[in-house]
Amino acid sequence: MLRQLAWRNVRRSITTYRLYFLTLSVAVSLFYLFNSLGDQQQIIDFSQMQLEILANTKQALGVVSIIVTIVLGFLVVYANHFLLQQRKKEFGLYLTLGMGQRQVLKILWLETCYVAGLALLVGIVIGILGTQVMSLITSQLFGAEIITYKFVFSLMTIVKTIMYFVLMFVTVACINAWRFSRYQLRELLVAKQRSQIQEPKQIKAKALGFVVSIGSVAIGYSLIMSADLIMNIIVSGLGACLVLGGTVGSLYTGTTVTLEYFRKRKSSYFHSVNIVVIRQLFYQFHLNIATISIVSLLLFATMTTLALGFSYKDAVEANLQRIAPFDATIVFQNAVEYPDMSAAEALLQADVNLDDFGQYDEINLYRTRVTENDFFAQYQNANSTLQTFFNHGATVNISAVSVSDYNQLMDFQGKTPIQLLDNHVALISNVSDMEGVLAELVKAQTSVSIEGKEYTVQTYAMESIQNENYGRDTVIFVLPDEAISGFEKQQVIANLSLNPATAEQTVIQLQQVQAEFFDNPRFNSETGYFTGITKAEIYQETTGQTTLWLYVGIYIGIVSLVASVTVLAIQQLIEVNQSRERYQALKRIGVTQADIKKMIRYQIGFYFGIPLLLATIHTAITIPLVITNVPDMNFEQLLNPLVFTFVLFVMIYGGYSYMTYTSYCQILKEKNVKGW
Amino acid sequence: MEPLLTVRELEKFYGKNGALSKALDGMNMTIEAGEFVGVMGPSGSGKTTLLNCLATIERATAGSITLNERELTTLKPKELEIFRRDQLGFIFQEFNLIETLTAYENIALALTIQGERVDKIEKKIAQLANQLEITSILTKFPHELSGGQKQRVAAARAVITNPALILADEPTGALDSKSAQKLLQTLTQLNQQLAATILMVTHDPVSASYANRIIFIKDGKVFNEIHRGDQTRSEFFQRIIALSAVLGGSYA
Repeated sequence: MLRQLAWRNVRRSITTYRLYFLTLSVAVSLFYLFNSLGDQQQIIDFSQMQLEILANTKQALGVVSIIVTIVLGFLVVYANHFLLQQRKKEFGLYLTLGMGQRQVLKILWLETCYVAGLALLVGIVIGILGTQVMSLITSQLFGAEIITYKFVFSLMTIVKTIMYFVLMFVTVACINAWRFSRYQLRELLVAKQRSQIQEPKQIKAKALGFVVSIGSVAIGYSLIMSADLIMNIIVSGLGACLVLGGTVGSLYTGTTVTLEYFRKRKSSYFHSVNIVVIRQLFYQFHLNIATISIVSLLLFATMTTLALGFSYKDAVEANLQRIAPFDATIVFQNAVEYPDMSAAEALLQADVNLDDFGQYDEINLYRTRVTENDFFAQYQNANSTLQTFFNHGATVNISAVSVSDYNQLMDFQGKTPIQLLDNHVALISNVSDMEGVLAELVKAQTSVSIEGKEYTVQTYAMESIQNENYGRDTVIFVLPDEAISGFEKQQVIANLSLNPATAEQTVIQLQQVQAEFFDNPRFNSETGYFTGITKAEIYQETTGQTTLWLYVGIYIGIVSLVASVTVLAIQQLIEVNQSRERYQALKRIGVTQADIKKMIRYQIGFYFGIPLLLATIHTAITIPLVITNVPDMNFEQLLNPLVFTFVLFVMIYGGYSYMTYTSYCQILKEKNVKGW
Repeated sequence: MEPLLTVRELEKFYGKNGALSKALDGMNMTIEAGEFVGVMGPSGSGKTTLLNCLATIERATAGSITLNERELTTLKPKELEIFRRDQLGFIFQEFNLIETLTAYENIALALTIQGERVDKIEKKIAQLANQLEITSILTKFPHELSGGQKQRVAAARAVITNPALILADEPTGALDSKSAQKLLQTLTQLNQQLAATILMVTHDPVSASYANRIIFIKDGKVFNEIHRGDQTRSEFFQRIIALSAVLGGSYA
């Protein structure tokens, strides 16, 4: 009997449950989607290195999933609170009819089971379908190919999803029971009083506050813009605080200012149903200012993460291609003691034959007495790299290579060599920050005295002469061969191009060599010691990290987007429950149905729209700021992520606000507003 | 001249074949312009249904209602909305003021939805508020007002558009006797000074005694009606009590 009643309740209050159900299903499908990442190796051809990244990412997402489940748990509790509120009278009726509290709780519990069970089913199905789309994104992110198109499906993930959500529902049901047991019968039967509205006070102070808030947003942004994003954490942190405080402040004071503005413009205030809409929005914004601020912040975080995350990964990879252009690099460090020995010869002494690995090219690195401090003295504040450099006060001697060595290396990579004139020097660097400074040096035809001889800067190139895990070579001189001969030789660098057919095994082989050989800095063979690093290692370290954070970012981003819209939707629907009389009154005094619907559309539109607008404005300011400040990020990379973000927002944000609107109208209908 | 309101053989049935209940069962009545009519009857007599039908919130099953020479029962939903907006004023037991609007804005709303201009709105409200002595409370929100004040604001909202007919549904139901008296004086004032036509449904003989004419209904039909004529209010009250006793049934 109770079971039938519960099932009938769910079916009948489908409008009320619709939004709750949707959120649950989306949550389940997201959970499934991100936890099924590991299953994608079924169809994507990952390399050994990528599999390790995948494993790490999977682990991180597992941890994030726990947090996400807790957040969703809170959301479900909140949604349930709304459902209980709405159905107080019904439960009160059950109790007055003589049903025991336990029985009513059982009805509630059964209802939760039906809805949750259905949501789990639907969510998992959507999740499985979503996984197929997700594998496209994954293959793109990893730069791996999809080998077979087949339906990816994992029983383990399904079991995990069900486990987590069942646990969550049980917790929620317990909280419901606890909350319900605290209701008094009288409370159930009498609808809660609305909090009382008042005219805004201290209008002048608030108007001033509004101006100050907007000003502080502007000052905050100009601080962030003037300070170097990475360098000056205190200044940009202060700027960020000003922006945040200013935004919340302008939201708080802005509601009053807007209301007053409209009231001054009487002809639009006293037009059609405008008074009702404006007053209602003012009331709701005033009441929920904290939620709206948090939602705006979450939306902003989601937008920027989604839009910039992919570009950042692209940027990191673009940078990697520059700082780690070779399959592997081995550096012979004892060139000072053995100036006539090549790296290959030195390695042979340690029973390592470079020819076994593939092709290689050697380049000799010399040391000059010119320090970076002197060379860049004029450009101390040109960029963050030089600022750090000068702040630390380190004195680093600039290295040099011969033009023939350099051109040979370019040839080895299939790049164009340079034609160096006599008494000229070319500059190379792999720090992208430096490009502007180098270009200026070239343009100014700067001359530099190297070991007592004057050279004019002829050209520059952004190139690496060895693999590095981050760009370290601020500048290296490329000098005519005859000039270099007298310099002190520091290192011999061997760059390897591995035989593609056996590359993967070779890397493993190299890493073994490295483990027992290069990584031991004091290892002494007959001739000295070596350092080395493979491209694979660098990629794994760097892209592994960014990929991991990107997944975590997308996951948290989408979940907070869904959470935000759900909260907004629920607040609107709580409102309609308390506003039955209002619509009844409007209807009776002759406001047309069309006008009432228009009012609701405006109300929901603004309520959803303002946080979105705020988030969009801040995102629009932040994105260019980040892109111009982070090297290797550019606007072209942004197109696809922006489209993706836009589509996602249209789907989730648009979908939820539309559904809120239809539910709103539906509830009015069910609440039996006469003449609806 | 045609009466302002004519109700002819009005029927309103609820339910289906088996469990048919007749809320209105051949109701006939007329109201002249400028009248203040009370409608009384026991619970379940069809008072509220009659009011809802007149208010065009409910559609009659059969019969006709003519107001200002327009037949209401055949109007389309959209025409009804416009009709309700322009021709009718409402006063409800529960005030039905909008909580988020000030008293002034509540009254103004009735005009803004008709597309009235701001300067005219200001002038009209100032004048009416003065007459109804609510000028000092215009800036307050409903929750800051007493029941009596709320109901006078509601009365102002009902009359501000100069409707052909004001429908009042138990307007004193939620008021204490002093506030009720004040409101009834206000209604009388509207009726006499502004020539508003009022139809008031009530179960309270005291309230009813303020009207010029009382229509008693029972079982969905007009049972009797009495005119006040030149009688004093207390004489009229005595007659109402006497007739109520004949009519029997509960008035609560």
